[in-house]
Amino acid sequence: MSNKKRIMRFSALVRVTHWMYAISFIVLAITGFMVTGSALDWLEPLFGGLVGAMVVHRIAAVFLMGAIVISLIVRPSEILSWLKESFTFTENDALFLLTFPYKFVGMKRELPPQGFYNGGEKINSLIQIVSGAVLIVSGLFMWLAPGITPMWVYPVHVTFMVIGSVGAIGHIYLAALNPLTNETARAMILGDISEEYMIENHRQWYEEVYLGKKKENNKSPA
Amino acid sequence: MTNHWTDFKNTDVALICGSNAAENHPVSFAWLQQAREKRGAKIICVDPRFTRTAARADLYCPIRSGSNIAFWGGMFNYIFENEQYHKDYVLSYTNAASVIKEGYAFDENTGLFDSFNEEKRGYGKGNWDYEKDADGKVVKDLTLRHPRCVFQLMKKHYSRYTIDMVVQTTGAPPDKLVEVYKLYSSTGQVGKAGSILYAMGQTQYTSGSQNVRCMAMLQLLLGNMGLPGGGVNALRGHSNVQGSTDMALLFHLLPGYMPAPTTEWPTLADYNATTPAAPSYWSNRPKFVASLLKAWYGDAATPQNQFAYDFLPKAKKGKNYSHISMFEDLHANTGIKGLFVWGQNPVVSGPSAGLESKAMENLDWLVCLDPFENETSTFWKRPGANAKKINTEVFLLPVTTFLEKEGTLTHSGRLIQYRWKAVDGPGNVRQESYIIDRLVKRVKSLYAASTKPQDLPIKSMTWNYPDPLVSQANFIDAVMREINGKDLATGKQVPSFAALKDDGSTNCGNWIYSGMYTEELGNRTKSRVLDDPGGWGAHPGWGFSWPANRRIIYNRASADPSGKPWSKERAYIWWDEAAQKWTGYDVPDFIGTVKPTDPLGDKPFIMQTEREGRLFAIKGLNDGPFPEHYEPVESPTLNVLNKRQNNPAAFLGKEGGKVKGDSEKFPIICSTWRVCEQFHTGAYSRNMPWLAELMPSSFVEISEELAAEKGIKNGEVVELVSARGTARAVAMVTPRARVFKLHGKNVHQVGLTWHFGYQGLVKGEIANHLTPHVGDANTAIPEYKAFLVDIRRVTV
Amino acid sequence: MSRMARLIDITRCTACRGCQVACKRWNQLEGEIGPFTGSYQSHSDLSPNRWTMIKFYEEKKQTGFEWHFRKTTCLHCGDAACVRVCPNGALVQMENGTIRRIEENCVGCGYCAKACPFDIPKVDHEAKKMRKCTFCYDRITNGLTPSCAKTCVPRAIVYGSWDDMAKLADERLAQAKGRYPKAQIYGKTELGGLGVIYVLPDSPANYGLPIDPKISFSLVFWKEVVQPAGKLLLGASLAVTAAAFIFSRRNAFKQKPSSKIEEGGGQGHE
Repeated sequence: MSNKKRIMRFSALVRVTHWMYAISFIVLAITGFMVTGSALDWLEPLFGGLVGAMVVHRIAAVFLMGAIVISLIVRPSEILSWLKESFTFTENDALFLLTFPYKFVGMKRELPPQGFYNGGEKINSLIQIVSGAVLIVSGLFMWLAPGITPMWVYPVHVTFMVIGSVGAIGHIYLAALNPLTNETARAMILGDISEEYMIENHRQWYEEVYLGKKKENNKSPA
Repeated sequence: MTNHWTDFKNTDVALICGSNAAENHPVSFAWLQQAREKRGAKIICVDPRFTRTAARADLYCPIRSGSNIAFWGGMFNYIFENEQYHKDYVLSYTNAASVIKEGYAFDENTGLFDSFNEEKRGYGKGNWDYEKDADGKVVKDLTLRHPRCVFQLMKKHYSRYTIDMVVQTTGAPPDKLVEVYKLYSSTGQVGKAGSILYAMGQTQYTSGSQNVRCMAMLQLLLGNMGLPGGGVNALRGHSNVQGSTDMALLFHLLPGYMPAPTTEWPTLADYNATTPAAPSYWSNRPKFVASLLKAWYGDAATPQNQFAYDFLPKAKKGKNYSHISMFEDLHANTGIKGLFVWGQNPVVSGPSAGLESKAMENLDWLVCLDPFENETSTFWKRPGANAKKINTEVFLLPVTTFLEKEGTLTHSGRLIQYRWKAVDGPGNVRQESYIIDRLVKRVKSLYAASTKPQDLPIKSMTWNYPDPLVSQANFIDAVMREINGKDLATGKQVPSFAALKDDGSTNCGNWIYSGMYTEELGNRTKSRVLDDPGGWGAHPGWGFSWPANRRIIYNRASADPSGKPWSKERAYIWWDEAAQKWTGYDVPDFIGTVKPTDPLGDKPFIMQTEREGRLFAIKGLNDGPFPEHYEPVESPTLNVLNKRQNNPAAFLGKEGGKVKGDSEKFPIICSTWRVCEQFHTGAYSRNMPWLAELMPSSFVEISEELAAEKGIKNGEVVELVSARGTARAVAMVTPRARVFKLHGKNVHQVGLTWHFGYQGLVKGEIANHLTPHVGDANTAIPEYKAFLVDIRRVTV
Repeated sequence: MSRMARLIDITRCTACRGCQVACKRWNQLEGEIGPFTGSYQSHSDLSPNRWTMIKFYEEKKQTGFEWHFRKTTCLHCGDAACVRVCPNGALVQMENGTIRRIEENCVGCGYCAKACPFDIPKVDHEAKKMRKCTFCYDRITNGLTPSCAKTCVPRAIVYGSWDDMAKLADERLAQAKGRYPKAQIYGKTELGGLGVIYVLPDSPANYGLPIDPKISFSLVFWKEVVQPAGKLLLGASLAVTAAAFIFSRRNAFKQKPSSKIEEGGGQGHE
C-alpha cells in the first residue's frame, strides 16, 4: 500500500542544525556523565582518558552553540516561528497530552487536531530550549571563568543535563522506535513525511496551513 | 660568648640588643623557647625597628641606631638608683671597691676623660689605674663610699643618664624603657640570671667596643657572669667566624688572642715584657708564644735565637692595618700590588663599597677563592666600570663549599665540632687545604736556594703535613695535632695548655685550642656524647669547648667567695670540701685544688692581674675607662649627654672621616642589617632558587610617616643617597619602622639589607655604597649601623 | 596507623622559612623567583610548586603592634570537601588522615580548588594536575617525621598522633595565653577535626582562616541529592522507554495483522 503522498516537513537548515545539535548533545551527555559519575568510566579510553573526554566535551559544546548560531543567522524566521509555536500552548495540546501515555506504549488513540508541532513535541522543545540555555550559560561560566563561578552552578549544570537527557531519551524513542511515530525519523533525515501521517497527527496544520497554502497556490497561475 | 647556645634555656630574662636573633640565629629561639616553657623566662628585644625577634619577644623597646650607650647608661643609673645590683658579687668579684688614681677625671663639658691629646686623637691612660699604697697594693674601700672608688665613680658617671635624658637621646618610649630596665635588672637578685644576646648592632659603631663593655659591666653589676643562663653572648655572624678570630685572622692578633708584634717590641724579651702580670693567667703568655713559634718554625726556633721571633713580620708601631686602612692605601695606590680574597666579597660587604671597588682597580693581580663567581671576582665589569682601563689580572679559583670538605668549625659558644664531608664538590673545585698546601710548597721551593736573611722565615717555616690531595682527613688531622700541641721530646700530644713550656720543649699552634686532641681522648672535637649531668645543657662529652672544655667561662663566679653556689637554684660549680677540689657540672674555670680560703681562692676573673671583673677598665680602651655616649660620626642630632659630638678616638682613617654628610642634606638615619633567607653578600643564597625566591629583591624598610611625607608607595623603587654614594631598593612601607623624637625633633630611621649585588639569580644594588669609611676607636670595625641618608622616589 | 596530625603553634614561629625550603627540597619542587610582593612574604599564595608557605600579618592593636606568621598548608581535613567533589577519585582519605592524591586519576579539573574552604589545591593547567601538600606521606608511612616538622627549630611545628597533638595544643594554648590573652585553638572540631591543629594568638579571621568552615551546601546538594537522583532518573527513563518499546511493538503487532488478514494476504509476521 504505498503510493502515499509526501509532504516536505523539515527544511535542510532545520535538519542540519537539528542533527548538529543532537549529536553534540549526545557527545556532551556521554562525556559529561563520564566526569560526574562512574557508570561510564569504561568509555574513558575511547576519548583518551578523562582529560581527553573533557576536551571533547568542550569541542562538542562549541558545535552545540554553533547549531543555534547558524540557525539564527541563516533563517531566523524559521527558528523564531518554532520558538513561538513551542511557547504557545492550546487546549488541544493539553488534550493531546492526555492521550500521550497510550501513544507512548503504541496504543492508538483519537487525537484532537494538532498544529505543526503537537503538544508533546512542544513540551520536548521546551525541555530542550530551557535545558540548553541553562547548560550553555552555566557551562560557559564553568569553562571560561571558573574562578568567579559559584559552587551551586555545578549541581545546576548537572541537574539540567539529567533533565535534558531524560527528555532526549524519550524524544529518541518516540522519533525512532515507537511504531506510531517512528516515521518522523525519516522526516528529520530526508525532510519529507507521508501526507497520511500529517493528516492523522497534525490535522489542524494540515487543514488550515497546508491546504490553505495549496488553495492560494491554485489561485495563482502555475 | 662567655656562655653558649644551649645555656640560653637556663636564663630568666634574655635581653636581645643589637641582634635580631630570631631572624639570623633561629636556633637561639629553640633554647629561648625552652627557657620560656620550663622556667617562665621573659624575652626583651631592643631594636630600632620591630623585627622578627620583636614579634616573638615579651617586651619590645625601640631605640634609634647609634644610641646604645645612652640606653645602657640609663640601665646603670636605674640599677644604682634602685639598688638592683648583686651587692656581694660586686663587692667580692669586681673592682668596685678599688680606688682609682687622683688624676682620673671626666669632664662632661668637653666630653673627655683626662689626658686627651687632640692632635694624636688619643689618651694618655696613665691615670686610669688603681691607686696603690706604699706596698704597691691596690687601695680598696669595702664600704664602697670612697669618692674615687670605682663604685662611686661609676655611679656618678651615669647619674647624667636619667630616664628623660635617655628618652631624648634614644627616642625610646619612656614607659617601655623603664619596663625594660625593671625587668632586666631583676636578674640582679640572687638565684636569678639574665643573658644578653648581641651582634653587629652593638659592635659596628665608632663606639662599638664600648657598647660591648657596657654589657660586660652590666652583667658584673647584676652578678650574671659565670652563671648558667647569664653571660655576655655574642651571636657570631658566620658558622666559623669564631674559629677565624680564635686562629687570629685579624691584623692585630696572634692565635689565641695574643697581640701581634709591632716595631715597638723588636725582641721577644720586649714582647714578653708586655705580658700581663701574675696572678693573671695571661702571665703564662710567654709559654704560649714560645710554643707557637716552635709550631711555626720547628727546629729553626731555638731558645738561643728567641725562638725565631725575628721571623715574624712586625707591624709598624702606630700604623693601622685594618680593612679600612688597607683599602685606603689601595685607593691611594701606595704599594699594595696583589690581593688574595679568600671567601670574602668586599665589593658588596666593604664599607664605602664604591670607593673600595675603585681601589681594587689599582691592583696588578687579584686572586679570589670562592665557590661562586661573585661581585669581587667580577669587579672589573661591575656597573659603571670601564674594563678597558683596568689592568688587574684576576684569578678565580673555584673552591668547595662547607658541605664538600671536612675539618672543624668553632661556633659562637666556643664549641669546636668536627664536620665530615657530605659530598664531593662538582667539576674542578678544589679543597682550600689543597690550594694552601700547594701555594706554601711552591713559594718555599721558589725561595729554597736563597741565602738572603729576609727569606729565611719562608725557608724555615715548617710544613710537614700529609698531602691533602691524597687525604684531606689526614692533612686536617696532622694540623689539628699541631694546633693542640706536642711535647717535642716524646712526640706526644699535650693534655692542655697547662703543659706548655717557654723553653722550646713544646709546640702549640693555638694555646686556647690546646686539649682538643689528646693522647687519652684523641680528637675530642669528634666526640658526640649527649650526657648532660645537672641538666644545664653543658654536654661535656659533645665536641670540645675552649678553653680546656669549659662550657661557661668564669664559672667560679657562680659560687660565692666561700665556695658555695650563690643559690641552690643555680648550683653549677662549687668547692667540694671532702674531695678538696672544685667540682660541679662543668670544668671549673679555676685551678682545681685552690681552696676558697686560699689567697686568690675567691678571685674568679683569672685573666686579669687583679683577678676581678673590671667595671672600670684599667688603662682601658682607646676611648675611655667608662663607656660614654657619643653620636655616630654621621648623626641627625647634637650630643646632649656631653659636649663632645663624636667619639674623640674614633677611627677616621686618613680620608674616611672627611667624607661626611651633614644632617641638612641627609636628614634620615640609615642602618644595614640581614635577613634569615639571604646570607651575607648572597654568593650562596642568591644563587640558590629556593632561597632566592624567598627574598628576590633588595628592599628598604621605611615608616608609614616617611612614606606619606615623600609620597612613596609600598613596592615602588626608591633611591637612598649618602655622602658616599647611592643605592636603589624597593620600598617596604611598614608600621614596623618608626619616627624617633630626639630632643624635640622628629627623626626618621630607615634600613636595608646588604645582601644584594649584581651577580646571582636575583640582583640588587649594593647597600654598602652608602656606608662610611670610619670605624671603632679600638678595632676599626666599620660604622655600618648608623649613618645618614636621604631618600627619593625613582620616577622611571 | 592511627590518625596523625601536625600542631602548628604560630605563637612560636619566627618565619625563618625553613619549612618552606625543606618542603621544596624533599619534594624537589622548582624555585619560582617572582617580583617583590611588598612584604617579607615570598609570594601571594601557594602554587603547584609551592605546597607550603609562611603568610605574614602585621596587626596594629590597642595592646600594641604585633607581627604574626602563619604556615599555610593542606590541613588534611577530617571531612574533606576536595575528596567529596573530586569527580575521578583522585583524592582519597587515608587511614592516617592524609588526604592523598592519586596521580593517575587527577585530570586537573580544578573542582577541588573550588571546593576547598582554605583555598589550598593548586592546578598546574599545563600538566593538568593538581598539587598540594602530601603530609609527607612517603615519609610518615616509613616512620619518619614530615620534612617541615623535622626542620622547625623552635618546635612551632610538631608531628604526632592526632590525639597527642590535640592534647599538646591545650598545653601550648595555656602557655600562649600569657602573652596573647585572646589565643585560641583552631582545628580540633572544624570539619571533622583538621589534620593541622593551629594555636593562634587571636581570631582565625586575623590570619586568613575562615571561622567555622563548612562544606558548601551546593557541594553537598550536588553529591548527595543531584547525583544519585540523576542516576536514578536516567536509569528509570531508559528502563521505561525500553519497556515502552516492547509494549509498543506488541501493540502495533496487535493492530497490524487484523488489517493484513482483511486484505487477504498470508504473510503477516514481524
